[in-house]
Amino acid sequence: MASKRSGNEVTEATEAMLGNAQSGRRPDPIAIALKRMHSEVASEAVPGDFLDILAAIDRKIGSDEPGR
Amino acid sequence: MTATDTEPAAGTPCSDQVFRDNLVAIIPSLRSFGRGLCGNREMADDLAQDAMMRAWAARRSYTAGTNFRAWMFKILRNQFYTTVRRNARMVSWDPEVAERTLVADANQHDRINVADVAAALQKLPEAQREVLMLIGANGVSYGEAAEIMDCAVGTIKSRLARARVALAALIDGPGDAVDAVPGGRTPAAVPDGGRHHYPA
Repeated sequence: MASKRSGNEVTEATEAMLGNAQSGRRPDPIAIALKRMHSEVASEAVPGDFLDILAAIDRKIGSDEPGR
Repeated sequence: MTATDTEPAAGTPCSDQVFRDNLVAIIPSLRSFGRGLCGNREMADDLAQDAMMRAWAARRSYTAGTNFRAWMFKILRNQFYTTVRRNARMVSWDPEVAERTLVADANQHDRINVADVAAALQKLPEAQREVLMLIGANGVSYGEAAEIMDCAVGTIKSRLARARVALAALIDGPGDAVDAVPGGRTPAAVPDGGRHHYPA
């Protein structure tokens, strides 16, 4: 997987679903609901299991540091 | 900030610390994508955690400067389909969780109840669900979605259009589906080449 992201593509894809003021298109209520779904999950506190994984990674990084 | 903001320039090694920071940044998106795919909070978090651990184990194969988000979504997606195949009879939709976590503004005109969308998503073929979650919820580009789903950009666009119509039909009923889709096209063949549904 070597391709890079294109910021223009993100705008195109997002606006295609959400609509925008310039185009005068009515915003898509489904797209808005999907964005809100994402926002709801993203605003939740990250469960402890994730933090445990990160802690294990931190220990690994720490143990790999030179001089340890 | 996106995960890619902290990546080194292409061609330079991605240090473990940078890789770890990218993992932290991608957690909300992984959880959201997983939730949309399987409709179950616990399973989604298991998928996201599994993706993180697999990614860490395979970090040497990640090319710095390339699309970390797409790489991670692909790992989660592959794990999802592996799990689906393993648990062909699994039940995914968790209405109690949806009721608790998805707040709705159903009274507002032009707004769709988020819990209805979450429930309807689980009735779509997986490929349609996936493209809606990637582009509609997580804001990935057509190109990224094509990369993640291993298909052409044109396929992504047509699949997204069909998925929107199908989702609108599930939410509002076929007669109202056109109104729910800007530029309302007539609903065509609703299910596309998605694989299988989770049996309820």
